[in-house]
Amino acid sequence: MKINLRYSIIIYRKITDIYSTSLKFKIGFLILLALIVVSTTFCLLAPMLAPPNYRSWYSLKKDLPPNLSSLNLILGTTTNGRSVFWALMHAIINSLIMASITALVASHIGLFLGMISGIKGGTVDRLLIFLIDVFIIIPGLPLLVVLTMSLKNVLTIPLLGLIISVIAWTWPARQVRAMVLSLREREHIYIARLSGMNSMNIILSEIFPHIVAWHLINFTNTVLFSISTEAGLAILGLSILSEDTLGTMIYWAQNYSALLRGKTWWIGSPIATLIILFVSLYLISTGLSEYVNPRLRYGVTR
Amino acid sequence: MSRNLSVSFLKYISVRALIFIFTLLVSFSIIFLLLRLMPASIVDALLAGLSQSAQSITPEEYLKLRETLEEIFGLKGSLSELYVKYMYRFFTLDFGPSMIAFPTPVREIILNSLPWTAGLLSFSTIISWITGNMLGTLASFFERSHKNTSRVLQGVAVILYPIPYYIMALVLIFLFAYLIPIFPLAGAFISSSRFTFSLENIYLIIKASTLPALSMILVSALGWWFLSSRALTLNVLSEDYFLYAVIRGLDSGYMARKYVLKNILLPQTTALSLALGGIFNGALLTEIIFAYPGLGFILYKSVVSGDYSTAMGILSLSIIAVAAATFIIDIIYPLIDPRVRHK
Amino acid sequence: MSDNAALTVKNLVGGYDIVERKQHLYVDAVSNVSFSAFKNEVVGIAGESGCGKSTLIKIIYGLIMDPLVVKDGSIFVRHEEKTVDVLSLNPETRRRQLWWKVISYIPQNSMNVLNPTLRIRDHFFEVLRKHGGLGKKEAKEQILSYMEGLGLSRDVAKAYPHQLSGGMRQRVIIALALLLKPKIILADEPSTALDVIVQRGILQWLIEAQKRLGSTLIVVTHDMGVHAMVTDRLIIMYAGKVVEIGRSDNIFEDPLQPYTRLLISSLPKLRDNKPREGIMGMPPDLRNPPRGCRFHPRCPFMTDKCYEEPPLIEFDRGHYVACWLHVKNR
Repeated sequence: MKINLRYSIIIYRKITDIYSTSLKFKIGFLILLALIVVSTTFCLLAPMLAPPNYRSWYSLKKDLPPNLSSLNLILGTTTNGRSVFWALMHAIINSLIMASITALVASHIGLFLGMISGIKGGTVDRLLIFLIDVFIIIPGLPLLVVLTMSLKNVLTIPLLGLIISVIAWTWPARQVRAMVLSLREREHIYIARLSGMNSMNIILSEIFPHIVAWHLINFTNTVLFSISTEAGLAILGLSILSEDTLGTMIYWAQNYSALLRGKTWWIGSPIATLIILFVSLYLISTGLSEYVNPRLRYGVTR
Repeated sequence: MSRNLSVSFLKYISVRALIFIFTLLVSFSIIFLLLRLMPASIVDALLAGLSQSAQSITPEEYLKLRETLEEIFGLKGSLSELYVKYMYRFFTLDFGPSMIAFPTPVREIILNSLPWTAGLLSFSTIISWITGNMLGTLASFFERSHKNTSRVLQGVAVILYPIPYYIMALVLIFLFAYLIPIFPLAGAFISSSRFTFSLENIYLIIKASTLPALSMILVSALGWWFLSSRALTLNVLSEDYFLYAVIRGLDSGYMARKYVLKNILLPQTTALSLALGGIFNGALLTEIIFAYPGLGFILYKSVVSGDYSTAMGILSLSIIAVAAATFIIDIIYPLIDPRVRHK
Repeated sequence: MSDNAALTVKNLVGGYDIVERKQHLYVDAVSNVSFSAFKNEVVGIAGESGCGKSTLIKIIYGLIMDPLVVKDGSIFVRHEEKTVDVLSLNPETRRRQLWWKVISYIPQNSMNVLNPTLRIRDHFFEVLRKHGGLGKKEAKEQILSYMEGLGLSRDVAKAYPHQLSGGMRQRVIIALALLLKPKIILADEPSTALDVIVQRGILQWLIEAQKRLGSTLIVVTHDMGVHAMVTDRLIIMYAGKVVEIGRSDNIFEDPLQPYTRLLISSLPKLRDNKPREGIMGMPPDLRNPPRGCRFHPRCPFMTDKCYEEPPLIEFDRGHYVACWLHVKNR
């Protein structure tokens, strides 16, 4: 309990420090926050504001361009007779939930394996690095295609998040391992070892604080990766087509040739949202990594 | 001295070759394991899904298909028997008859599409790598004297970098095939069966490949390679050996080439070999959006018709392709890094 | 500037312009320094870390990069029969005409100054290329014979930096500095990173080369042993100020300034069994240096007079000192 509190405080303090220091982080964070707040609010208010069967097809007049007359029509309607706006709100939430699951699973697996590899060294390290490299070589898309094809009937948002984490764990693992290796050489670790601290203690008190920032970076990058991958799968028709995610919206729009027929609002909204989401996540990630690398933070002294 | 070099170089190549084969073995095995986790009724579900979309097939062909699928999923026979057969299939790309073009074997279909993908990939990757690195290095090196250009390029890079290839593809389609209809919207080519080198063919190929290549190059070169080479350049600029070059009064142009670019080459080559998997994925998706007749498009067709065997074939071929490319880069390595060459 | 002088520094004031939390602070690293160095001599600049000697050297060379600023003073050098102020030249002219041809520089921390992706001989080529305009073949021959003349074999020429030992790399750096036969050579801690035996060999080698060229060598180091071994004249610096100048043997035998005395007594001597003394206290913060004589807070002979800055006076022929102890009433 005490450890949890202590580490929560460390993490909280770090985040507020980064927030005040890095402009990029601030901008990215605020954009993301805005997206989350807007979509969550509307999703929560949906029972009151949305048309009663917003999910069912043909509940609204189809192919309507954006219209400020009502909230439902603010982004127009699809060829399926659905409100683009409400679909989008739910899509943002679903995509983020799925991506968070991937990030939680993958970045922690990566953290765990990376740390073991870095700290133990020797054969364990060599085996793990080989494993990581193999996974990096396997092109994710064909593998995911095969996996999702097999599980088509039972696919849910969390399960999809889990499947994507199969390929998403490699980068965090690599990063963490590199971090641990460089930390290992530092003096305070030697001293801790010499003074008889056991490995667990060393990990927690000496190594962990440095790794927090990197863990956050990996987490953010994984979220970005996951959303991007899901959209990729959706274009192939392999995502959960009955749910709204940013990817499936694009899929349905492509399926009905929205672009060709000039229904740009339908395909444009998820794409624009994706781009905004990506840029904000990227800003957060870069802001974090600039913070971590003092050279980039203070500018190069010539 | 040079004979020693070739002997140790041969040794190096053979070690990397072994690693190449071993990597294939391990990755195929991992997939084998993953597939074992799938529910057992999978074959039935797949076949059921198939019979709705595929043409009518004879009972013998149906049995052959079933047998292939069962072997892939490891439903028949002992574990070791299955494993050996499975490995054999993966290494020889023998996945039986395909469903999207029954009864053409999977192998034929995917090997026919391979040149298209390989062409698009190599071309885009090499051009983006070279262009992106040069832009990023020069923009950062001459930053002080060309502040505005540098800032603009950086801004562009930051926006382009996180955009996935297929989104860029969609944007480009919108701009250049819809708004200003220069390029064909989709499927410039009918089939990928026979590949003849006629002038007309080449013109069509270029027309079909431009947008896909462009979308990849824009994101890659101006995004990722630009930013990473910029970071590396800034690193080099703060190194002692760079200062020493300045002290000796060497020309800027010379320093940009021999001090910055040369020292960036190595980490960027490593980065390239790590990025290959991601670039490959991106290429597949881009192909789908442009209906470009490569592996990506075939993958799409397999998904749509529930052709599992072809999907597996593509998976296997992809792994071999990426591992082979990594192997090639590994071999080029010593040619670039004197530290690896002269131990 | 006198005919015999190769380099004259006059009233040089320079330091670092630091921005800390949006505030500008000036670190007074070189404060009103003046001295001359003559042809064919070895001058040492001594003092503890942070006394400004490295900064002084950089300014003399003309390597003035952010946050370094020069506030005042001149640096006179003879170039093409004329006397030129290094600081008044535009940087491009400095680079093209002065650097490496008239003055060369051996930087501190020479372990990492060679380009890891270039062979040793290419490091020489690139200098010749810029200044010589020789054909590739002639340049190659010239470089190889030059290197061999200095005792660097063909294997070294072909090698990459990481294949050479620290001592060998140092020789390469020195050979590079001497390539264009400069009149003035500035060496910043040329032997500090090496072990003692290698150090001695390299220093002797450097001195031999200097004698052959007839150039002026300025050696900056905190190691008094090095100064004792190679220098003809010595300049002692403390906290950005020159406190004593004179012939090395005079200074070692009879150090005038208290700081110099303490510096020299820290060296071990034969047959002297007394324990070595350190100097109490720490060097001052140059953002806010002490009033008057900068050494007074640590000086065992301090008096009230020391709150006023002592002038640099010529105590004996060629022997200058800045200390109230030696100012006789005139």
